[in-house]
Amino acid sequence: MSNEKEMNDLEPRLDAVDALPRALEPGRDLWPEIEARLARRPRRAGGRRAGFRRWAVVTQLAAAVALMVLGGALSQLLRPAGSGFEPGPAADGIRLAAAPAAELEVAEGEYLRAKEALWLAAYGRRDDLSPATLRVVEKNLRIVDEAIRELRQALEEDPGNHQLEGLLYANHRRSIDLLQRLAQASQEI
Amino acid sequence: MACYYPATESGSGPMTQTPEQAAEERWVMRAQAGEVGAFEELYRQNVGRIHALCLRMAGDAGEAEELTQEAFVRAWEKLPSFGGRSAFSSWLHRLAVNVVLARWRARGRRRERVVSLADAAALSEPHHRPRPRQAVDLERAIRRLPRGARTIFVLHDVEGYRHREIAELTGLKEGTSKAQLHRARRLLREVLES
Repeated sequence: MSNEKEMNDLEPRLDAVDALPRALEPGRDLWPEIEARLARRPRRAGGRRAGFRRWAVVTQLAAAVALMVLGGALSQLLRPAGSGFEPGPAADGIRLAAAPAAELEVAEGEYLRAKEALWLAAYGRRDDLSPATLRVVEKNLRIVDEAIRELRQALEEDPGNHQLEGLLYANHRRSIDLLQRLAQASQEI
Repeated sequence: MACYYPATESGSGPMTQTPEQAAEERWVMRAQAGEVGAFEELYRQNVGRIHALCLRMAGDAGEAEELTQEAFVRAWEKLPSFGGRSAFSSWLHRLAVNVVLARWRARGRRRERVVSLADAAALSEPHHRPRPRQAVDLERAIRRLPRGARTIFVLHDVEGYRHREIAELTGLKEGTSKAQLHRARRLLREVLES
């Protein structure tokens, strides 16, 4: 006789249990306190034996995705402004052809996928990188991310503005470039 | 039986992954890489289930919030070792159970309330309000169970763990787990039928 059957013969399960809700939200948002505790207890990369195998796969995938994406859709973005790292001022945007809203959406999607893949490749081994390198890259990424956020907001208010679109693409390139360099640096270690 | 966290995880390879599972895996990978924002997303997706578990096991709202926080902090610390062999939500759930049990072990038995079968009447709470739904009655009754019986009842009947797994988690013998479940069901039935 199985444990469950034996138990049910003695004292059947209560039907009301099925009516219990699966989830009960806490009375307040616990995240701010959790986040503060995470900040106080930074995680070391140790103890990641299982995760390391996954990381290796992720790195390979990330590199493949990055090559595919950067070689495809983003190459279009890279072409107008040349191969320089600096996006250039507003004139950079004027040189770009007008991008319809759907095209902008595709470009944003490609950018986010490439960024995520590179980000995983680069930051999976962040503990192996020098703190100084990380500080500089992270500082610059924050600046670029903030610029991208502001440009997206501006484009929501003024859709189709070619100058803003050009600036957005230029900042995409900066972000990808930074992450590529960081990913390469982490792979060389 | 409401078994929200199946005891045996079947492998969820890429071919069998739902879009939700695939999305969860992406959040997990990003959180493993150290992105706190991705971990917040995992928190938002899972906090209700983890809090429900803690609330039912602890029987106290304030303690349940503390335990929920602790479970997520521990999850963040242990996330690099999560290998993806089971769903993240199942892994997190089991971790939360361990957090609750560890808290109790640390405290020892000094705060445990002892409620005998003869005290079953104490589980019914006099109140002047419209008769609540059956589930609300049960929820209230669960909270007032003695801790040992409550733990086994929540893990087995509510969360779907088997006695063998409960024995592994708690260090109790399977027979003890069965006896506690029997006790819990009897206490609850007496209260709900009174």
